[in-house]
Amino acid sequence: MQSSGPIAAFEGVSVQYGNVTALDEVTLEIERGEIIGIVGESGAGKSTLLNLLDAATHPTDGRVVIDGTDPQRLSGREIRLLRRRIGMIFQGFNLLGNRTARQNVALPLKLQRTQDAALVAELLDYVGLADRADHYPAQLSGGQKQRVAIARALVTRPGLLLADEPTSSLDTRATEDVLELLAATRRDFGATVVLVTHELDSVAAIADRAAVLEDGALRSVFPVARSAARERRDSYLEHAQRVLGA
Amino acid sequence: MSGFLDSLSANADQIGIAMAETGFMLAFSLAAAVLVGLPLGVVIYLTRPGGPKEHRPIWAVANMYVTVVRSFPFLLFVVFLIPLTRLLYGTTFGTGAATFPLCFVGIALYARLVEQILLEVPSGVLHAARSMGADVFQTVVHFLLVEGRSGLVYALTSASISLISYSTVLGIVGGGGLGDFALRFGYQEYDYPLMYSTIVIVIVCVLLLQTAGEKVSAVLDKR
Repeated sequence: MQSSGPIAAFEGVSVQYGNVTALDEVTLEIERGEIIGIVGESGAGKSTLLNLLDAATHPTDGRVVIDGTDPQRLSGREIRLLRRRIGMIFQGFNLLGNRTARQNVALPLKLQRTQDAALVAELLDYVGLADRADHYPAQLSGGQKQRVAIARALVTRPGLLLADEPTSSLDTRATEDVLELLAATRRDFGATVVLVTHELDSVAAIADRAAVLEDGALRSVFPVARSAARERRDSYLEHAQRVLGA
Repeated sequence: MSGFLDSLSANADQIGIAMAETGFMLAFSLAAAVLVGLPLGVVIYLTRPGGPKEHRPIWAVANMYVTVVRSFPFLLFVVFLIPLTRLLYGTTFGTGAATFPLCFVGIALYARLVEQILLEVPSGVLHAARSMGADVFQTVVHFLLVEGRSGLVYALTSASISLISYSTVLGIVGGGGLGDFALRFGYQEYDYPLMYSTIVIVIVCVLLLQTAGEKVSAVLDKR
């Protein structure tokens, strides 16, 4: 990764799928080392924006620059190399069910024809699953699966971590664990975190800035206020009372 | 009952030979299914319209092969292939030459089953592969085949049972085997006890295969 300039930039980016405008002239810079929340309702263009960052989609208009390069100018092989410097976690975890936690975490290294058993063990320990290393995903809870997925994303030491609705299928406590881990990831690995979600609470908990998408347009980008909930760890009762207003 | 046992023991040697012939035909056609049918199924999956590596011409040819071979009445297919068999083997007769058409069927059968199993691998697995910068070969080897492995073993079991069934037709080109034995020495010699006991042997073999396939498949499935 380069060391200066934004890690990713959208310059007047539009994406059309046939007659549908998925993104409409979006201009946004993602700064190195920040945690930015991309929020919006379903269909607002969050997934399209994420696909652009993963070089899975290219803009119809405008330009995307990721770490100093325009993915549209890269060959297939160069795009694969770029993706190896970007970590990604998903709503559905997308772990391999027939591989243990340890094997899942080691997989990105295997694809690069290297291995580092010590790093894999260290990361499993970092996400608090050292004792579950040889379990299969089916033997883990949702929160644990997402933590394995985070370890897998970190194993290549990415400068950019894309999180696609990472907590949307998790319960409250697991959500807190995963968010804490994402915040720690920035602190301990210096990764820039792009948190794409419809859950405003998650963004309030860890993000520095929020970018709001509506109907494919970027409506506003603003700093996230430090919420009280951010510093404390609610019990389930406290969380229920806060949400339900008891 | 004693009639069955008598006819079995009287023909034990020949039944042994017939079993070996069936085993030979099955082994070769299964090897073809794995070595050619598996890659072919992967190619059909990858190149299909809307697939990860869409390529209409390749898909059309591969898919057409599978469809034609699977819909060809097998008896006629064996006859149809006789010129090619003669060209390659120098003969059209005997267990070796008879295995040739069976290999074509094994490839087509297994390719279709492989395609169907890969279609059922969750799309999230492909997303994960893409996000890690996996190339096509890595996506197949480290993701698709890993997640589909129990299904692939189970499908191979089904394919082998179908192949046993297909192999009984190969008596017409001197393929031998249990089916041919039951027909010629049982049915045509009016030795019904021998025919039925041979059929029972076939059924037992199939049951053993099926059970073994289910066991291996279950052990491989950690999902």
